[in-house]
Amino acid sequence: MKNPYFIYEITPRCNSNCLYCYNIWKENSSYPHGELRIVQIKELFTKLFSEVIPKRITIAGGEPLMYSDLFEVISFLRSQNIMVSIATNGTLLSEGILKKLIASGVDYFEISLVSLNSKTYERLSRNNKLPQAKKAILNIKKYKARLAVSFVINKLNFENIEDVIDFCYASSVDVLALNRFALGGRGLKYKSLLQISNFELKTVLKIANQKSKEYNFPINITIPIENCLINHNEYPFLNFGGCECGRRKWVIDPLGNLRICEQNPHILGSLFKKSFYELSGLDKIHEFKKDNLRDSCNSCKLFDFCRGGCRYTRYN
Amino acid sequence: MEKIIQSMFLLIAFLVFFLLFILKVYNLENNEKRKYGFLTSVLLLLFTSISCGSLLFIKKKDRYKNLNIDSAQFDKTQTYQDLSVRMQELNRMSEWKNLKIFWKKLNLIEPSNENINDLDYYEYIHTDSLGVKEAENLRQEMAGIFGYKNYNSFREEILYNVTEETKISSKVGIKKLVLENTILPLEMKILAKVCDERLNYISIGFSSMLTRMMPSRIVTEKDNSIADLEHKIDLLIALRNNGKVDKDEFEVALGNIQNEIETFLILDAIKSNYLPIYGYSYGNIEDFNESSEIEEYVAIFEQHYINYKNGEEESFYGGYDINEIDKMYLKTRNEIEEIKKVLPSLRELIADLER
Repeated sequence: MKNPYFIYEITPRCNSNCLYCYNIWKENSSYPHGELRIVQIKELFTKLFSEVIPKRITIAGGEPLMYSDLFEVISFLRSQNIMVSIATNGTLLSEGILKKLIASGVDYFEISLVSLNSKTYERLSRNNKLPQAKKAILNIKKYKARLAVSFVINKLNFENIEDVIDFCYASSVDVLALNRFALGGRGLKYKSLLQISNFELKTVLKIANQKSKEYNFPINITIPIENCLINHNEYPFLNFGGCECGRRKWVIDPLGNLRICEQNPHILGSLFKKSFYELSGLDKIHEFKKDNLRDSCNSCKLFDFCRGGCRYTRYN
Repeated sequence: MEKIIQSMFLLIAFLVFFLLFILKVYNLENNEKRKYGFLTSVLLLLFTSISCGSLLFIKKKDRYKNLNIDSAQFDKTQTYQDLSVRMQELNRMSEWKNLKIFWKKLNLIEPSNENINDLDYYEYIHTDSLGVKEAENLRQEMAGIFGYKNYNSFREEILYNVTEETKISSKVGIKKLVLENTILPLEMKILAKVCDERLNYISIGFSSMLTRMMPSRIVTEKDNSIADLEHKIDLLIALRNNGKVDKDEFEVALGNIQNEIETFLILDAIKSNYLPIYGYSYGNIEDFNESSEIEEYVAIFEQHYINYKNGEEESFYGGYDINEIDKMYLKTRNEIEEIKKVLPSLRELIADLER
């Protein structure tokens, strides 16, 4: 497998309570809870790197800044020459911690920003920490680290997209990741409140396309959308991609289990007990991907590019 | 405060001279009083003047002593306190205040109408936002602020004489501040160049050479950096006015936008001096993977020269001979180093322009 990359959910703990959260364990009590100690993390990755050496690992969660030995994990990964990114809600990212993270070798951050409207932000995140999130965004660019801001498109915030794009561009953010709301985790409970219509999605994409063109500002569609659902050609300035989950992208949960993607709750197996190659080659991966295709995908010329969109969204 | 101290020194020196003169004259015989009194007083007067003048000269030279500067060298570790002392001094000077007013004037002009993005990237255009006459008036105003008689003399010195020492003879405008050692010549030239480029973009849009082939990314990104600067400033002002960002957030974001200026300076140094880069196509910028965008472009420039030294890709060298390319490379590298050295203090200057 060429250049896989991993999302490592370092901890299930989080200081936020977002309505749209996809974390499997949030509403699923049967999902294994817990997190590894630093010794176990080093053992896990030493074993993994004996089989495959990814270029980059993104440390996510939960909220990764709540893991007490985070800096030691980063130092270990950096000592193995792995590039490290952090995906965070930004509310715990003080300037001091940010400087320390950058000094440890983190060169890429992802921060979620669901609205610039404080009431909408508060409703969706169920906290009033919008100022902290904005400050984290500005400070990351002040210290010249790379930054992607992610915006989860849902029914409560899709009208705020213009302000968010303007703020991101004006704040020198490197790229905006537009994620349509993907049903999973706690989000399943709030499906009727959050799920947007096709029309609303197209409205957002149209605005994003125009802004991307106007500002020459990269906007990526990171929860893949199949071409038959949304014609990509109508939005030529947006960067659509295909589903890489279970192909190049993998998720490691807080206890060292391998999954296909962040939304998919099905555990493939423990990386402590089995090899990555064994787990990544399981038949159930191919079955899942195959079973969640449209019939038309089989004969679609664009399949190699689009790869059938987000399978898990269709699965739910 | 310094002026008070200087005045006190002069007064003390004068009193000392006067006292010595009186004592001397008092002790002379009558005929000697006539003969030596005058000579003594002239000598004493000369001595006093020279002493005071030397004192003032030493104090001026020492202005940057705490900033650890030696002939345009700035130590990146110098404290904020040292730079803030200079900023306090600058903000008492009308020349610096005039530049601040002008800079903010540029902030308030929106660079383009909404059709600009539909136009050919390399077309010269006059936008609706700034008429020809208005742009010309602003250019003359800018030249005056920096201490030049007109825009042509500004352009000759600033754009064609970047790292060489300019004969600072004018005692007006920012040039006066250079003469007083409050601003370095290179800092003045950089500020002038950025103002000029901003005004160019606002009035005529992109100005890179139109050719049949796509110029290298270094050239297009140089143009984009000033375009981005203008667009971002306008957006930030709009976001502030709409209450979407508060005062503190506005200031931090504005400071971050300075990165565009730094990118512009480095890319301009490469594009202006290392001419073969114009037609150079290289791989993905991601392949360079340096710690910052500026370092990535410097790496591209260095790679081009390495390729040349290895005898590769000769077609990209535009017919320049070996000696020319070596000289261009050295000149570019020196200019980049000079710019990097002055960046820490320059950031403070630009941050202050926005306050």
